[in-house]
Amino acid sequence: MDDTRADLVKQREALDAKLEEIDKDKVKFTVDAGIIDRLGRELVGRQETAVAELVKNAYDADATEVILTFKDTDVAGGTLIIDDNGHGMSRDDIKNGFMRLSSTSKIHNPVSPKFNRKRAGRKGIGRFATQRLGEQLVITTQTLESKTALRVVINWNAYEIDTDINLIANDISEVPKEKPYGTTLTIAPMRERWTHAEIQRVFRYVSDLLQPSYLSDRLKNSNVVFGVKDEDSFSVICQKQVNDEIETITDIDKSFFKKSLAVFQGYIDDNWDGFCAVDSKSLKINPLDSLREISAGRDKKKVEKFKYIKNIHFKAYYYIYNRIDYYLHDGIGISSTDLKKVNDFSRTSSGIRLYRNGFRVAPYGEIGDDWLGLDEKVNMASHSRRVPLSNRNLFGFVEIVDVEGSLFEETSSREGLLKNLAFEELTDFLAKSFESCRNIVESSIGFLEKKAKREQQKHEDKTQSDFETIEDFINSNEDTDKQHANSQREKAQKALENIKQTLNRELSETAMLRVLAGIGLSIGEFVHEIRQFSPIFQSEMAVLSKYANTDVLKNSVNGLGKNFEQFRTFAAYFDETIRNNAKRELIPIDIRDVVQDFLKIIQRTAEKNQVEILPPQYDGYDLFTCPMHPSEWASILFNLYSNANKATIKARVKAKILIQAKEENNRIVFEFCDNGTGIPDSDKERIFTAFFTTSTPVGLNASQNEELIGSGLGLKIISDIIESYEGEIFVSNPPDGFKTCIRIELPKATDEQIEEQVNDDLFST
Amino acid sequence: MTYFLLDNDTVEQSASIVSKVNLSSYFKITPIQLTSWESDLVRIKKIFPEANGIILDWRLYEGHQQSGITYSAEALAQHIRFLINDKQLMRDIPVVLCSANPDFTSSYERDGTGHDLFLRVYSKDDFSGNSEKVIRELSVLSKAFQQIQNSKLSSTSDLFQTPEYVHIDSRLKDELASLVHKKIPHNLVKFILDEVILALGVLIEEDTLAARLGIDKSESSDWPALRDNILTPGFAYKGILSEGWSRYWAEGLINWWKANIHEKHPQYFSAGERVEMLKNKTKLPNLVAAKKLPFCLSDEFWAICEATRQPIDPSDGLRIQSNTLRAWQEERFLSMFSILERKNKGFKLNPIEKDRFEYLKKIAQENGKK
Repeated sequence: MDDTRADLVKQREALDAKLEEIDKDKVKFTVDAGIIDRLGRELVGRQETAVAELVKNAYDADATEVILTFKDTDVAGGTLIIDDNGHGMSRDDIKNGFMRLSSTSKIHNPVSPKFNRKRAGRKGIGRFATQRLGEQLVITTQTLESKTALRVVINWNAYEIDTDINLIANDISEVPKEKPYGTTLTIAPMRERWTHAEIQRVFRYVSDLLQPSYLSDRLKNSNVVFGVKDEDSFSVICQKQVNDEIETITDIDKSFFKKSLAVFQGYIDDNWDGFCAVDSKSLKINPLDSLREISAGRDKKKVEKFKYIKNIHFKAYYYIYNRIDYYLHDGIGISSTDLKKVNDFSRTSSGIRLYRNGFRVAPYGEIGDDWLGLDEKVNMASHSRRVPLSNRNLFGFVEIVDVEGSLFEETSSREGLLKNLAFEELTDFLAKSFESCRNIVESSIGFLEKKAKREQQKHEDKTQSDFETIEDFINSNEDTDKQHANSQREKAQKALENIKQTLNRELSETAMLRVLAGIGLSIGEFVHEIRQFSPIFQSEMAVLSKYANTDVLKNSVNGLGKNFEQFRTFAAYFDETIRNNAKRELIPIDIRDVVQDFLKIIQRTAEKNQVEILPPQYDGYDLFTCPMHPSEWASILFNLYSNANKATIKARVKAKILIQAKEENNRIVFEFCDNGTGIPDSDKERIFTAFFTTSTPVGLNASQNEELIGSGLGLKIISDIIESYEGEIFVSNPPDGFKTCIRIELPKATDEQIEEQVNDDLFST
Repeated sequence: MTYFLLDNDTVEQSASIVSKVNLSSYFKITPIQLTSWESDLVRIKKIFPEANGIILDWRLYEGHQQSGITYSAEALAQHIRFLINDKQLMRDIPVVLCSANPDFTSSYERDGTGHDLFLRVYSKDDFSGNSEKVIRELSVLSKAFQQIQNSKLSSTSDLFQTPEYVHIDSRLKDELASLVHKKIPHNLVKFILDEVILALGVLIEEDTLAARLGIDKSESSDWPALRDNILTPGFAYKGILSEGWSRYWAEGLINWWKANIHEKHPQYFSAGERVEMLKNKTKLPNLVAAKKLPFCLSDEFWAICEATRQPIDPSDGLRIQSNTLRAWQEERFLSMFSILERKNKGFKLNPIEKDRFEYLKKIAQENGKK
């Protein structure tokens, strides 16, 4: 067989030579096999584009389901299987379609036979995508009509430079059918490794290829079925397989879109008129009332029609992340956890995407692409901080119907659209519409806040009216009608009682806080002043110890020295803390830093009190919280330590404290655990409220200091601190061997903040 | 030996601060409260003949407005230098700086223009804390000034007592020769202290010495014996200022190694191999090889991580920022471990390491996640 083949090749070469002899006066293009490598590596730049091309092929083949399986891809050399239930390929399809470079089949047949899908792939890139991904491609394909399946094995490495492409043959064989119809591509060994995150990114990219829903009737009713996503007609499943374990990669649940703060929508109609509107239950905005006309011109006095584009629609879900109070609170509204999830999600997939005839046009709306200039505006000083409008705040898409491709031309590199007049008008319309929607939201928030203020006023008015009742009573003393006077008195007493209660509640909290603040100031002064005495004390102690001539005296001076040393570290720590605070500058805080500083000073006290502080456990590096005051961590750590200390004394155990920190879902998680008495379930919520304390109440003649230590304000204050940064503090499940675990979660500093801080710490002078 | 402490604090306060130092039988600090420029100069001239050195408080005019001091320590120090060069004061003595202000280091280091005026900088806590060290350094400085003015030292080898096998870099030799020729003790001592003794290169300190031998100091109970009975007699630095700062000849170590341990340069061997050979040859069994810090690849140690003081191979280290290194000086390093664990306070990296730092960090984080 091989001999005959070799013979035939020889004959062909001889024929070629003869032909050349005849065509002496002509030259022809020939193709080197190296072109395959070129096309694969250079036409398909990114991994996700490569996979996307293959998914597009499945879509074009009228598949309703594609299953991507990444097998053992944690290291390079794994396998990717792409399995679809499309119409499959006949031997002829393979020969003249798949194996023929730059074949024109999709150009001749732009619509798929079964579902009339407008074909996504046109460039014939898909096959080279497989070359980009792995060394070998095995195609198994079968059509409904065929009795057997066809298997083609393509070894991409055979396509070496300096080889004639005609001479490389790939095996095709008939094998039993695996299913009624469809195509399976097996790519192995993969050239690169694929982490979970990379697979997820690809999956997200692939699932965003098709427009999420119809916006216009025109698109919906057009003769051609566009690529609009309909779960029933086309779905992509993505799996990661390690050994025999299969994990399905899921897309982020998008149901939260229903819980956005507001939905922005708009369109340019058939008459070239532009409109936008806002719909928000939370902010009580209805779309009809908020409908605004968008003018194509700059003149604010008149509304101009658009000249180049019509039948443009957009829809965007709008979120403000740090204001959970703006959202509905009736169970339908978003929870703060969900809002956090959306916030996290927005880091990787927010923005306004552009879909042309149902298909996504890159790079619009990808992270980092600010095609509508939204982020640029946010950075300007005039931008409202209250109602921010950056890409991060929006999840949306624009639908363009342009069947003929006459309005919007794709650039030759196929990345983006030409910046022609139509495109300019489009961005102008969108930018104006979003700004308009933002204004509607802003005015509505302003209105709601005013209303809330009025409620507060009502509350104050209530107290006011209580006062008036009392006033009436005082005036009624001159009243001769005794019965009326009595009823006035009763009312007045009740009013007085109300006022007292309200006042007491608020006064005791503010009074305590004022006292604490005052003490804080004095301590600040004090620790600063005592610093200069510290070398004096130390020196004089050295003199004492030299002249101490009895053992008793010597021991006593020694003890004095040791205790003084501890006093000194304490004072230095507080001095440092207060000086830092004076700068009033918020900086991202690395948990390691604050814990190290704190342990340095508390270690000795802990040893003395026989508290064992285990080495802190950290998971990961760069554990930076959002920018905070360094002194706030001193408050947090001291408070937690002293609570733990008290609890272990009460429990009469050999005290142990464990500090742990890690990153979880973009939050810094900090845990402080002790083996003390533990916290009963009934108290778990209450310990963070003011004046909750487990300390025994102090006697009547206790000094103010004693009163403060057991005041029960400690956890309330630190919980206030943490909540002010949108963090959480709660009682969590302790690890083995511990009874209490206080867990603090704070937003992690952004990558930019971390980078800046690390650079500042490491490189600036 | 007497140093005068010129301060705006009262004499009683200052006396208390230095009372520990004054327990010493041969070293005294006498406090003087400064009041105003004119009268202070008169007093300085008066005490100068009996002074072995001067300690200046850094922020003279701060805090005590009533004391009427309107000038800075730098101004006074500069004027003292002028009086010495103008022969109004008949000899040169060491001038050092001290401060009780905790913000001192950062504020002082921000502006380097006055640094040349002071040989050393101390915190007031040093007088009460590690007073032996302060006494040792100050008396050695004073002694060096005397030696230079008595013209006892006139060549590099006089100054350094250089062993025969040590080759001093010619540029260092030239600079020294010029300073020796000019005979300004302050300049000469400041140069030797900053550029030779406290710098790394010609001389090395104990931690680097242990690192180059591959030894984990804290785990090796025989380290003091090796150091004191073998290494110190072998190649410790014995020249000027050596009694104040203990150092070893970097070349001396290699010379000693080749003569006594192995003919090949110690850097050919891993820490484990070096320590095995040392144990064999010295008959000191309790020497332990230093281990690699996390994220380090090599145990052919030659330097230390300045933050943790642990041995590292320079190829694993990230260079610390330094003003331009002189030809005879070596780089100092931080380990990736110390940076990631945030144990590197006070050390900055050379900006040239930025890309490499980011690359190594990425690798470390990826490895950490596994």
